Amino acid sequence: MDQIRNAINNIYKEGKFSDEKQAKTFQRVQPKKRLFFTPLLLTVFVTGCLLIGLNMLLSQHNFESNFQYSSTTSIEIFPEYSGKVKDYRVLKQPWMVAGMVGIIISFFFALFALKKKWLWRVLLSVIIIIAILGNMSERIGYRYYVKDDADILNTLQSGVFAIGNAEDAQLYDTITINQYRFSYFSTNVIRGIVFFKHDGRGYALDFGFLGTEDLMSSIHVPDIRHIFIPLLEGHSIEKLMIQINTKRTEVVVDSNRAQLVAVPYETEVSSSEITIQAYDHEGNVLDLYKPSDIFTYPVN
Amino acid sequence: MKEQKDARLLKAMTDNGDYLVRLCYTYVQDWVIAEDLVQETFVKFYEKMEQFREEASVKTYLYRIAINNCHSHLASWRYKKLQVIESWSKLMGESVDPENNVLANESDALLVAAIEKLPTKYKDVLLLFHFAELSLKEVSETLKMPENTVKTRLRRARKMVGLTLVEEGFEYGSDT
Repeated sequence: MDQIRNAINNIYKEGKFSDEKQAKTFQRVQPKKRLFFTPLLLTVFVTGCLLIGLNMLLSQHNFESNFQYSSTTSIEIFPEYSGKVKDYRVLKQPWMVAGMVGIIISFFFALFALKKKWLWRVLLSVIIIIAILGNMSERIGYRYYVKDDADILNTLQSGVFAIGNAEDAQLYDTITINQYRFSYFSTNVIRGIVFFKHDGRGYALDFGFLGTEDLMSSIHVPDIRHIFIPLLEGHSIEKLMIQINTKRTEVVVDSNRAQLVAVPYETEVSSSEITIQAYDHEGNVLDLYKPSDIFTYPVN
Repeated sequence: MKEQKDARLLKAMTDNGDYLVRLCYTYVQDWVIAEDLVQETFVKFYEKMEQFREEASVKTYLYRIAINNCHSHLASWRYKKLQVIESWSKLMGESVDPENNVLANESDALLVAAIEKLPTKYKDVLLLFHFAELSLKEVSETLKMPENTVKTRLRRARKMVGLTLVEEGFEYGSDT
C-alpha cells in the first residue's frame, strides 16, 4: 500500500463517515414536500403591508393634491390649524423613491439570505436598510401651520430660516387673502416676508423672502391678483401710485410704521407691466420699485 | 428507480465515505466540518447520479467534488474567521493539542503533518495520486490541468514533503 495512504489512514483512523451522518445524508436527499404558495403569499402579504402603510403615510398629509384653489370664490372656507407635523411629501422626490426601492430590495434580499443562512449578508443588508432609513428620516422635516401672530413668531424662532438671532424677530404685518397668508417681519440684521399657503388643513409655511437691504422687493401674486408692497419703519411715504398698463391705482399710506400694503387689481397682468411709485409728504416722486424689483409668487 | 439510487448512494458512502472524510480533514483540520463537506459531496452525487454508469467515474467524481468543497470552505469567511481566532489563541500562548504532541513522535504523524502543511495546489495532486490512488490521467481530468503540470506538481509536492521531514529530522519523500 502507498506509504502516504497508509500514513493518513493510520493517523486519521478515527475519521469515519458515521452511520448517523449517512442516515442524515439519506434524509437530505429525500424529495421534500415543497410549499410553493407559502413564500409567494408571504411576499404578497409583506409587499401589500408596505404599500398600504406607505400610502397611508403619504395620503395623510397630501391634501394639497385634491384641494381646489380658487381666487375668485370668496365664499371658500379655509380652516385654520396650528402646530407642526411631519412633512412626508419629501418622500415623493426621485432619490427618496430610489431609497425606498433600495430598502424593499434589501429587505427581500435579507429574507433570502436568512433562508440561506448567509448571516454576514443578512447583517450587511440590515446595515444598508438602517443607513437608508436613517438618511431618509433625516430629510423628512416638519410642516409648520400658523393660525395667529404667535404661531408665526414661533415658526420664525424655530430656525426654519437663517435669520440670525430669531429671538429678536418682530412681526410688522400679516395679511391673509384666500389661500395665501403673508407675514412681514424683521430682526436686527434681516427683514423678510414669509409666505404661507393653505393645503386643506391650514396655512402651512411655504416660502421665505429675506433681505438685508433697506429696499425690499414687492411681491406680485397673480393667483389672487394682488401686489404686496413692504414699507420700512419710519418711511416718509404718503401715497403709493401703482400703474398697471394704462390703469393707475392710488393707495394712501396712513402711518409711517413698517407695514405691508396690499393692492388688488382686476385684469390679468405680468410683473413686467407693473410700475410702482411713491410720493412723500412734500410731493416728491420716488421710483420706489421698478418692474425688475418685483418678485412673482408662487415661483414657477 | 429510487431504490436503485439509494442503493448506489449507500455503496458510494460505504466504499468512499471514510476516505473522503480523511481527505477533507487534511484540508480543514476539523472532523465535524470534514464530515459535513463529505455529506455535501454525497448529496451532489445523488442529484447527478444518472450521469455515472461506471464505478470508476463515481470515485473520480466524488474526490473532485470533495476537493472542490474543501477549496470553497478554505475560501469562506467562516474558515478565515476560525483561522484568525486560532492565530490569536496561539499568540496568547494558549493552544496546544496534546494529541498532536503524542502523535508527533510517530513517523506517520510526521509525514501526515508535512502533508497538512503543503500548499493546497500541491496537496491536491499528492492526495489524489497517492491517497485516492487515481492515475495521472484521472488526476489531470479531476483538476482540469495538463498531465505534465500534474507530474511537475507531484514531483514538487513529494520533494516538499521530503524537505519538510528532513527539516524535522525524518528522511522520507524521495521521488523514487
